[in-house]
Amino acid sequence: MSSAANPYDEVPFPSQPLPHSQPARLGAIAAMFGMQPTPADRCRVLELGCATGGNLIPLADRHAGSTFVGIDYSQVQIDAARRVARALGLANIELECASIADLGDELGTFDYIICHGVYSWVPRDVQNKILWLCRTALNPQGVAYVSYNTYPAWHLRLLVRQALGGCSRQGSSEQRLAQGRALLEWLSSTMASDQTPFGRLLTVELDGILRQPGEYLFHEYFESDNKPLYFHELARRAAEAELQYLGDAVPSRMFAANYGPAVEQRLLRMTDDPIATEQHLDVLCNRGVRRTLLCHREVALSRRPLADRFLELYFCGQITPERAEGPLRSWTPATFAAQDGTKITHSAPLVKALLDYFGSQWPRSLSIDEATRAVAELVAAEGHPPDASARTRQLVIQNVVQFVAGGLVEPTSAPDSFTTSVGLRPRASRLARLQAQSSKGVTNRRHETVHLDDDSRRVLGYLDGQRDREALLAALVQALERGELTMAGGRFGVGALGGSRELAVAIAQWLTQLAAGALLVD
Amino acid sequence: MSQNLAQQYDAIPFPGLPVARSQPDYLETIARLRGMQPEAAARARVLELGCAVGQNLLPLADRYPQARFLGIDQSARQIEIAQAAAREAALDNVEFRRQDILEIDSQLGPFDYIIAHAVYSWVDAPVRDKLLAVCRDHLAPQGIAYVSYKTYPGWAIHDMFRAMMLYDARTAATSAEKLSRARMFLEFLDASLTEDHAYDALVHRELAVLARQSDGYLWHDHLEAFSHPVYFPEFVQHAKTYQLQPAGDAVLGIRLRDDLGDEIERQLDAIITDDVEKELCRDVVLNRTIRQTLLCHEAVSIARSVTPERLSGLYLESSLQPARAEIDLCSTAVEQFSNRGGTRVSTPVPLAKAALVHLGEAWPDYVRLENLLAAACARLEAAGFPAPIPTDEIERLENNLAQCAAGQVIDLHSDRPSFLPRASDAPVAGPLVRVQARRGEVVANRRHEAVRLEMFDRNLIELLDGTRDLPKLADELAVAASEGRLTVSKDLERLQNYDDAKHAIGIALPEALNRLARLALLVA
Repeated sequence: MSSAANPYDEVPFPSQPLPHSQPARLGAIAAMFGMQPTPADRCRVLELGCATGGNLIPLADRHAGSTFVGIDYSQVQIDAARRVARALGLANIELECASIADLGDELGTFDYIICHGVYSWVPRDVQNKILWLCRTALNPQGVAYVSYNTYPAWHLRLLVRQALGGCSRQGSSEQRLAQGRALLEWLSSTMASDQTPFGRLLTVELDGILRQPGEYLFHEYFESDNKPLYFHELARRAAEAELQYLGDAVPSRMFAANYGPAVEQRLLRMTDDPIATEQHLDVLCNRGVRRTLLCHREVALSRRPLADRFLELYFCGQITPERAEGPLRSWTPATFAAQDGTKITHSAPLVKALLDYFGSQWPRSLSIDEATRAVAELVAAEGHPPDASARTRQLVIQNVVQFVAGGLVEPTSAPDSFTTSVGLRPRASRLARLQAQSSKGVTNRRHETVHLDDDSRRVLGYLDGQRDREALLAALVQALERGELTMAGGRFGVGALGGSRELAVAIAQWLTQLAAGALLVD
Repeated sequence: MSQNLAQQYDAIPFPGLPVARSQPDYLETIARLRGMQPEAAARARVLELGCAVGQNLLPLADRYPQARFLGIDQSARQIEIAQAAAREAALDNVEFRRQDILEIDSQLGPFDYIIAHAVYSWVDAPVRDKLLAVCRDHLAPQGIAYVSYKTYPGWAIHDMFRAMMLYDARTAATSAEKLSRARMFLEFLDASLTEDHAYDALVHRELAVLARQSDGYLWHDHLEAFSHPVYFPEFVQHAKTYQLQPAGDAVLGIRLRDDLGDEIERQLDAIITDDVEKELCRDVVLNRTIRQTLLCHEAVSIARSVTPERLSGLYLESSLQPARAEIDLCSTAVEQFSNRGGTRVSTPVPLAKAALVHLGEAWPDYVRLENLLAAACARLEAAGFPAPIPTDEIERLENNLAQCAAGQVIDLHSDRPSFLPRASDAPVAGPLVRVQARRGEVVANRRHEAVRLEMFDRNLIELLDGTRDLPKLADELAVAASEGRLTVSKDLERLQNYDDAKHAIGIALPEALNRLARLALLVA
């Protein structure tokens, strides 16, 4: 496709870190199911369709010992990505403008291949090429991540796409987008009073679509190609490309038990094929997007998480204790809330202590050994030494396996590259500081986008590891005098002008907040 | 069409029913409202593509002895069933031919009406093309084609059902096994979706529909080789490539398009200019599943709006009954009317009230527009209004009647009814109806509707060949009861004695015949 006709040159795709695509996550899932993945800090990573590098550049910044290759067919996007990489002085990343169709052996081979938001939007021959690249350019124990639009949710979304096709095909992208939004809003308001199941479902979908940023809306709903497919079709195509399904980038979505024992039992009676099982789960939850991990068909995989491989992994979980009827070491029930709002109640002291400890350490990742030691301390009876024996460790592993399957904690194969304690001379990554200059969204070391208000962005910019608290305070007092800090709404208890004492308190709060956001590094 | 598809229909014949919206009388009426000069249904040449076992054409052939009918289907077994039924009912104006649509050549036709019900979305692309080519090549200049197809958004959720049922049945060897796997999937969904989410509710609702369907229907609508729902603009574009244009929609009748209400329509106008694309937006709002589009040649000029003059010469029918027993025609008090389907209209206008009362009293007979206007005036004059009724009042009434027709509380016809609105002394049911009743099938009435009959009515219809008066009918039915071939009960007690049965039947018979007349099953 010529550059002039490239819609991604005209409307660049919003390029963001994709937490579920990071090699440390892919490696953890691969290990769980029996593979021997290459560690994330000395691997080779290829991203097909890297856009402006929003996903790949933070990974290159974090894993200096690994090398990264990003390919995109929009020269405008590659140029933007290169500017950022150059500004950061990254020597371990190559960014090339090329069409996936033209790629060959010259790329070399990789431990991880990431292809996000591409597969459903390209013609069939390019789709095939993507899967064949995952075969030919992937090392024997390598993992490929491919995301795509899937059914059943897209049955209805295609309808919305079709209706938008009735909007003028003339005019600039902005005009088309504005007309498209007007039509979506018309549909949404017209359907609002429709209480039939169809009316309610369409309203939910439309509201979801309307909340998307314009660039996303444009590429998802106005571009010529958008070919969703069923999961089992993708699995079959992968098999044709001599690959096999390894797992979902969100492993908890693979387990029927998460849909309740009745559903699990019914599915077991219907099929023992993992592909068929997950296909039926997709239908139950009206799934619309999949992030599928693939590996070579020759790899022997376990279909259940292998407990002994958990020893080499790290785990974190945003778990909040809700209600406890007694101390952790007692056998009274306690309730915890997971990040997605799910409530779980346990009474076994060890399980309660484990959940409690995960919550208290968030966003830190823990090794099994650390969790074992902490849990032993928490449940030790008064006057007795903690029991961090192999048996306790075994119980911890068993429970963490359950937590991972249930989506309470997420596994990673690399230790954290951030610190949750604020040091004497706090430092944010160069990437985060660079991003904070021009954007409200910055990438943290969990490979997520964190949205900061203007003041937090300003503060982040000063965290270069050279300034102690006093120097920070001095810099911020000046910034305040120059009117660069808004101190919006007296949020930190300071007046419009603020005094340095109040500012010192505010700095402490800012730093705590940034540390909790995994934005500070050692 | 693939051999495979023919075999599927040989194995599981499509349970065809008369399709009321496809009847030539109806198509003719809509064509006249559009300003076309269609051939009268009673003398028309009619082609049905994919006629299945003839359930749609046979009643039409029975009803219009002067018209000629040709039904084509590629399933030999279905054609044999249809031919046997035509022979049995002694219908010589209908021909059923086993033929692949793709094999149709220039020898055929022309036809005034071409019907293709449940074909377009059920076949592969070459057959879809050919179907439209046949309409272009074999439709008379003022002819109308009726083409029904699956459409979105309604079919979106069914795409999921189909995809998943086929997936679960992928290893099944026989159609019976495939059906059983498909039903298992539906049961799995039904049992597993419980949350109060709109998606769950939508799936549950459609599941309830699918669960009621026969194997034949489930198979042909969801599991057979092809399923090709289309968006309305896609269909219109496809028809355009064969120089055909939409002349209306069978469901919308007199209206050319849906109407979502003034304010919503105004907003839509401001966003979308293309009429066909707008109609897709309306399909979405109304969650349309099936479309029954009428096509005519592109060269025909179509009236975009229906003016009251176009009603002239047409027959009107309505089962509207006033809510109050005593209506004061002279006052301008609002009177409410409702029809069999529960649709209500109200009016304070004396002349309109008089017309609706007249229509309701005549029902199930039809009333020609000119006669209705005259009758309404006469009723008003009889009630004390000074004659003559002013012309502008009559024009206003014509407008009101057109509105009622658009709202489908009044049905329009091109011809007088072909059934008798009241039973005669020696009542007659058509030969086809008698054959269908004897076989215990659903019978097709003269409104081209499917009617399910009770045992007693079926026995009665079999005897209605015009040779028996009421006493004779009571006599023969009582013989059947006394010989145990017919159950006649009184106060929950079965009457097996001839005299008892005859007495009870004699009392019930007039009402039963009246019922059959209202069901449009009795003919001259």
